[in-house]
Amino acid sequence: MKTRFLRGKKMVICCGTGGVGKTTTSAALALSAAISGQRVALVTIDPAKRLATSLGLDNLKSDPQPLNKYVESAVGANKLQGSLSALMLDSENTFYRFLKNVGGSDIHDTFRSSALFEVIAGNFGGAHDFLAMEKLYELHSSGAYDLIVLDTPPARHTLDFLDAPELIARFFDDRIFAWFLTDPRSRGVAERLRAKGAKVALSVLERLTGEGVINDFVNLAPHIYKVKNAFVERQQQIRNLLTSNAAGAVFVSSPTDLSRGEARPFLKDAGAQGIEVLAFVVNRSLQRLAPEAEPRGLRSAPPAVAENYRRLRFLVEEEEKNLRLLKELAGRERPVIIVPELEEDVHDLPGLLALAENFQ
Amino acid sequence: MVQDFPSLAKRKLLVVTGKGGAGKSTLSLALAHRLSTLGKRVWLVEFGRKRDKEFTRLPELLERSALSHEPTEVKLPRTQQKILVSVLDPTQSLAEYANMKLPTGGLAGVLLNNRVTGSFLEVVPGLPDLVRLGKLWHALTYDTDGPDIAVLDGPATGHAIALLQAPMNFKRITRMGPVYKDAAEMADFLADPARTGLVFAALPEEMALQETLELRKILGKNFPAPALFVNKCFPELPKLKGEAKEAVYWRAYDYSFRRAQREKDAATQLKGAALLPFLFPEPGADPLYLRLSELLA
Repeated sequence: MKTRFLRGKKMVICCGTGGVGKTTTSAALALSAAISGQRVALVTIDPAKRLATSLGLDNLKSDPQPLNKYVESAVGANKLQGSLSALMLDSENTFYRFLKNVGGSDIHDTFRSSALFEVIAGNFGGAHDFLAMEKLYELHSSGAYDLIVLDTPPARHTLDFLDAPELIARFFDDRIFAWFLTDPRSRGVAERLRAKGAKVALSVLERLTGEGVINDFVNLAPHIYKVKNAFVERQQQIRNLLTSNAAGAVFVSSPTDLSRGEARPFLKDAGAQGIEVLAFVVNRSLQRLAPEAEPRGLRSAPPAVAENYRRLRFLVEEEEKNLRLLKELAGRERPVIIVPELEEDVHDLPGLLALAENFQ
Repeated sequence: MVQDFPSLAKRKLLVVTGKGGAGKSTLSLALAHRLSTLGKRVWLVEFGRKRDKEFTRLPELLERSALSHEPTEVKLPRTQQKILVSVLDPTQSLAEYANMKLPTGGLAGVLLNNRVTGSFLEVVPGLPDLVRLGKLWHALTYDTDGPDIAVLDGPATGHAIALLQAPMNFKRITRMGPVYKDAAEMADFLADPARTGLVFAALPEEMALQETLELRKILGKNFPAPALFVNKCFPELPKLKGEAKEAVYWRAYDYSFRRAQREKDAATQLKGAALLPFLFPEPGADPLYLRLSELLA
C-alpha cells in the first residue's frame, strides 16, 4: 500500500460537504490502492449517480461490479496489481435484503406490501445513511476486500450519516413502540391501546390524519418490533467497526470551501464520535498557476493576460490563507494533501489516474 | 438579463436546489434581492436543523449572528432593500400546524406533550419537511397580508427530491382527514407552474451537469419545468498570440482560456440554462449576491 495514511486501514470514509470533489477523491483513492495491489471495493450511495460518471460508466449496479478489465485497458494489464470493484447502493434492495435476513420471508413480504412502510423507509432522514453503513458492514464481513472506500452522501453537515443510528434507535424506542403493539383480542385502534393518556392523544392524532394511517401503523408495529433488535445490534456493530483501528475518515474540501470553517467542527465531531481522521484532502488548488504576486515581465504582458493573472492570484492568496489555517488544525500527525487543479475536468478514468498520483 | 427571471417573478414560491457548492444560498439571496427591487414583499427561507446551526449559510451572507423561525425583516447588506427572513424550525412548525387544526380544548397540547404521540411525531420520517412546506404554502395562499413570494434556499439534490415529494407521500398514506386534505392541496400547489417555480443551480462540470439532468428527469413529470442556472462559469477570453509563452502568466492565461472553453462546451448541454459568470474576489467590490443580482434582470 503506497498511500501512507491508509496503511493498516480496511475502510476509509470520505467526508466533506457537497461540491468539493468527494466522489472523485473516493474513486481516485480506491484506484490508487487497487493499482498498488489491494483488493478494493468502492461504495457510493449517491442518488445522482456521479460515481458512475467519474468512472466513465453509464451506470453502476448495486452489487460489486468488477472494473479490472476496464482499469487495465486504461493503465495497461501489468500495472493493476490488485483489483477494483465499484457499486452504487440501491437502498431499497439493501433494505429489503436486510429485512429478509433478520426477519424471514413473512416480515419481508408484510413490509413489501405496505404503502406506509414504503413511505417510511423512503423518507427516513438517514435511511440512506444507515444503509450505506449496512452495506459497508456486509462487504467488510465478506472478507473479499482489503480496503473499502465509502463515498458519503451529499450533506450540508459532513458527519450527518453518523446520526442515522441515533435516529433509528429513537424510532424504535421501546417506550414509544410498546403503545403501538397490539393486543389481538380487542378491536379498534383506541381499544387496542393500553394507556389512557396515549389513547386520548392518539384519538387527537386521528382527528388530523384519519384513522387509516394509525391503523396501518398499529398493524405494522409488531412486525417492525420483531426486527428492531437486529437493527439496533447492527448499529452497534457498525459503530464498533467505524471506531476501530481498521477504519478512518478523510476530510475532503476545496480551497474556497475551507473558508467556511467546516474543518474544525468536523475534527471535533469525529473526535467525539471516536472516528480517526486520517488526512485532509484539498482539491483543485490553483497555487501552481499563480505562484507569485508579481512575476517578472508581468507589467509588459498584454492587459488581458496581466488581468487574468491578477485575478487568479487573488484566488490563490485566499487559498493560501485557508491552507495555513488548515495545516495548523491538522497538526503533525495528519497529512494535508493538496491536489492541484488539472487541465481537464475529471470525469473519466485517465482523469482519475492523474488524480490518484497525488495519493501514491 | 436572465430569460427565465420574469416568469419566476410571477410565482408564489421558488425552490432553489442543486449540487452542493453550486452557490444555492448566494443565488437564493440574489433572487430575493432582485425580487424585492420589483417592489415585492419577499420572504427568504431556509430549513434549519438542530445540529446544522453553524452550517447555515444565510446568517453569514446576511451578516447576522443568527436568524429566527419567525419571519424577521432584514436589511440586505450594502443596500436599502428589506426582505423577510426565516430559518424554519421543524418542531415549531409542527406545533403551529397542530394549533391551527386543533384550536380548542388544549387538544394540540395533548397531542404534542403526550409521551407517545409527541415522541412519535418527532421521528415520523418526512414530517419535518411536510410541516415546514406547509407553513410556506399556507402563508403564501391564505395570509392576505403575507409575503408576495417566498424563496426557499433548499437542500442539495438528493434531499430536495424527498422534500418536494413529501406532500404526495403523506396524501398517499393518510387517505382522509385534515392532513390528507392539506397535503393534497400542497401537492397541487407544488405542481402548479403558476404558483411554484423550481430553480436548479449547477456548475459547468460534467458530473454536476449529469446530476442536474438526472434531477430534471426525476422531478420532470410531477413538477413545473425548472429554471436552470449554471453558476461560476469562467469568463471567455480572447485568443492571444504571445512570444514568451513559457512565462507563468501566459500559462495561467492558457489555463483560464481553456477552462472557459471547456466550461462553455459543458454548460451548453443544459439547453435553455442561464450561464452565470465566476465572480472573482475584488477588493472593495459589492458582495457576491449583489453582483449576481445585477445579472438577473
